[in-house]
Amino acid sequence: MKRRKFFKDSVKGVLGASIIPLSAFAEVSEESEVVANPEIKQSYDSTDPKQWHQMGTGKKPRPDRRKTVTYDVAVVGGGAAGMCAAIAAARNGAKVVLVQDRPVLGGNSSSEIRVHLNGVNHLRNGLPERETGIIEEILLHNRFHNPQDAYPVWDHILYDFVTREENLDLKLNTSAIRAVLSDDGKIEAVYCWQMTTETEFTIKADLFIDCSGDGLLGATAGALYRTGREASSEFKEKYAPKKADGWQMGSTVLLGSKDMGRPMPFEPPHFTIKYDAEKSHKGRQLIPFELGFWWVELGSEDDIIGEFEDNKHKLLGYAYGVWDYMKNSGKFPQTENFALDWVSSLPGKRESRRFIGDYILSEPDMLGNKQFTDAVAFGGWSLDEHNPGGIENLSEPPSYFHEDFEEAYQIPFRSLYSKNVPNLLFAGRNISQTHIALSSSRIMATCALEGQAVGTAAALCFKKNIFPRELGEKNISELQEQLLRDDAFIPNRPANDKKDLAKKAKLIFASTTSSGDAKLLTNGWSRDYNGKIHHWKSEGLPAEVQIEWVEPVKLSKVEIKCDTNVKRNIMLRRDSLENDIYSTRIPKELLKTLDVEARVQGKWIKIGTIEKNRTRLIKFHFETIKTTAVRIQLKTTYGAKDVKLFEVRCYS
Amino acid sequence: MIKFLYILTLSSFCFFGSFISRTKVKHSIKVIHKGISETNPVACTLIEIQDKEGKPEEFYMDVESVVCGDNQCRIDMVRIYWDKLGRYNRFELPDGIDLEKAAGENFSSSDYEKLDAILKNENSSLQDVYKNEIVGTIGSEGADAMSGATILIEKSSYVEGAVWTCYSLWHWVHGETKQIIRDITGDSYSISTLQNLLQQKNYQKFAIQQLTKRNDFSEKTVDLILKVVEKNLELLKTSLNYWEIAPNSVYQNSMRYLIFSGNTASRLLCFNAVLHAKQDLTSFFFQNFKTIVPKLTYQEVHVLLKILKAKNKIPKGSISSFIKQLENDDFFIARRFFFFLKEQKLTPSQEQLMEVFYQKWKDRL
Repeated sequence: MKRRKFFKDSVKGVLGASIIPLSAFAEVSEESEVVANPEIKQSYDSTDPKQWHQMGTGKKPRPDRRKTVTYDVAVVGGGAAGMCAAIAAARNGAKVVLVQDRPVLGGNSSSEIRVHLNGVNHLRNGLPERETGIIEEILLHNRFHNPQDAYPVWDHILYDFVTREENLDLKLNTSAIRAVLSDDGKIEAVYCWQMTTETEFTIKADLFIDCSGDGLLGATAGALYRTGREASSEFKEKYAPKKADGWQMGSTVLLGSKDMGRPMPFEPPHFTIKYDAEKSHKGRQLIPFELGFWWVELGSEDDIIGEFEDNKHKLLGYAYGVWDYMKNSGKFPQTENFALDWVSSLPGKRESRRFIGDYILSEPDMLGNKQFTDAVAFGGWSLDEHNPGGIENLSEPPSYFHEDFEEAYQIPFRSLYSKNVPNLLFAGRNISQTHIALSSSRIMATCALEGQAVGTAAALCFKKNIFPRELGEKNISELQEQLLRDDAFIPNRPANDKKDLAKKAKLIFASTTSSGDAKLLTNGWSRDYNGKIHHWKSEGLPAEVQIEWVEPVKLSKVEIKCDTNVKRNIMLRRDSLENDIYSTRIPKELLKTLDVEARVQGKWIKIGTIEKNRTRLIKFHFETIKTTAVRIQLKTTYGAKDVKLFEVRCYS
Repeated sequence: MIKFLYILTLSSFCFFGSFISRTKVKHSIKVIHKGISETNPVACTLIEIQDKEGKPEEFYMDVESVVCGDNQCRIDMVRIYWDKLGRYNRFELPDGIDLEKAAGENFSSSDYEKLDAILKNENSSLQDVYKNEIVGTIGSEGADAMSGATILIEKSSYVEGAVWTCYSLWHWVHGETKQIIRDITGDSYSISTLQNLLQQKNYQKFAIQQLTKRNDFSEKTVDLILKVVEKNLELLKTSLNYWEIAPNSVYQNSMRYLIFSGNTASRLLCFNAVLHAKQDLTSFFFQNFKTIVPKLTYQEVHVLLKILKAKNKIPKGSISSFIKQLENDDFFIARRFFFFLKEQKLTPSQEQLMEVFYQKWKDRL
């Protein structure tokens, strides 16, 4: 209650300063729902309603640009976490809005920043354990539509992916400015400003998901949060400092250059800050130079959000300073023909607020591979803690790369919702975790898994009319099962969906087998894991998998998980790296052409066919049929001579 | 000539002298090495060492230790040995020469052992890697290098500090030279030698492949291959290419033999091969199939009935035996036959049996 009063009282002053000049369009349009909006107390009648003479029509319109809209779930932040949260919630039946304050989706991976969408790129054995689920679908979508690896195109791959989703509205260029609370401490609405349309949105929803990174929505709702580094004693973290302090990892300005085929001069702009290579730690590698330097980074010991614009100015100076050194120090003749062709104007952020949930994930949980009963996501990027101060702390290595992981670690659901704001969930770098835990889990594909988890959770909460904490306490298995069905992977938590009729089949067999076993297709594991095989692989193509029931079953869905080789990374990279671990191509293992047939009264009836499959999780939905057998005709892949499957599910 | 010192085994060293007295045959070959060019073959000299009978005993080739991308590598000559079937055997270095790792350090004895193990691994992850892809640029989240080059392949696939050497040598060892060696050896053997090899473990696959290449479908060869593959699933798979190009009568006889004498796994292989084969099947092929039907598993029945349907060949008299399968203890088999028979022309009494089955099991159909 006290918090709510605070915002009610405080917003007036802010509105007075910034919103009043917009009041010329105060007339309410018929389409808009008018509700009591505690954010808008200001009178809009102080200007002339006929101020705008529309020359074309001669009308004197005064459009209302205040709108209140209502959804089941509101997601703030359009990075990897937010997109996956919104899509997961929408696919699970909720009416969703995704609010993004930039003109493009993708957050740090967008063309504005161009950080690689890394995940569990490599464990200690050197191999990836790639994320599946929605983020996998997005990365595959990119492989089909963006073989040229263009970042501006990537923005629209994401736009395409999100806007084609039913039940999901996207609001770009829209800043979620603050939470509006109800009397019982819930978030009732989020107040937003869409810059491009000069529109104030009040977005009401039952559940809110803060995937904004900085977490302004949660912060203004009064959700508890931390910043800075914990003392090592608090969570027994060996890599944390002895004494707690305020240091947060910095933001980075990346740049890119191009070989122009002729000598290119470089004259630095006035804000350039000279780079002192002599004093720099050798970890600040200057070669390769073509794609910039991730360590051009500035952290903060205090209010990293408040300092952002000043730090950005300095970061641009440092970025140009390093480039000036490369071009003009005379030590790098190989840069002679190179010129900058892109410098980011938006530093990519690594750290600011970390909300407090019912559980704070910490370093020992990760290194000790703690098994959580409420695990919903996983990570495995190294403990990659960047140094305090970034480029202003030259003698230190830019990152400590403390330790790689032997195995992917689990992330519990209790770290993904607020301890004190009952209808607030979060995913991304702002989840409930320590600074050291963040040094690994902040990576975008890991954030995406958290996003899918909270989006799915929010939809379930809406259906059941409960809050996330209760969902975690009473329905965690249902949440996990839904995630696994939707192709998320939870280490050491195989699926066991009682509704899956494939599990009730008496027989499952394949036409040929070169490795694994068709019986494994219903064992609940959707990948080979820790050296154990959970697949069936054909010997050559075409091949066939058949499932037989003794009694007829009613089916309307067949869902298949095929292979995309999760031991290879497929994210967009600026260097288009193609090797054992990274690929720019459509995975050759991916199943391309297939049919599904059902046997009805002895006759095989085709119930689905796909000529150019593009996903790991392949879904067939059809009119309900009564059948005693299903067979999947596997015809071609994108290059592999055999086809590998991990799962077949059937539902009524 | 470079004097070579055997690195790996003393026993190999003992053979060194004897090689000098044996006949060597030079083969000028052209092979693709991924590290040099993916499209332009490299001309090389493969040396065949013959035994007393003038047959290939071993092969070797002198190659450069490193396909070097940046001209900063020291290149040594390495002699790679294969056995007569193209299987990697060992490598040698010139006397007094050690392979070099990063920063000018020499290979240790454990490095040599690891390199030897890497070269022995036909399925190394080095096989799908391209020269310019081995060393990547991983730093923190961006594209960058952290502390020198980061190797982007499984650690077990290379000797640390010598990834270029491992990569270069592995591709020499497991490149096109292997098949060239197998073919040189195969071509040097008479049909009867290949027939003999069919009876020697470790040579059987080679012999089947070479006899396939020779198109030899003499009675003796066919009989020998049948015997060899009858109880060996892997060799049976290899032989399917042989049968597929055999004269039709040989094909039908052999597949029948394998189906009648085999077990479930081999029958399934044969049934699937027959289902997809281009060879014609006459009614002879299906003679007496009814005698094996009671032995078949559901999966075998399933494929067999698919063959009958696909080839449109229902053996005479088989319907009456198939009808009996409606009483098979395995309900899936009974149901499968029921569905098959529903599409066949039946006598009134057979129709009646079908109706009995239907009435009994209509809730399960």
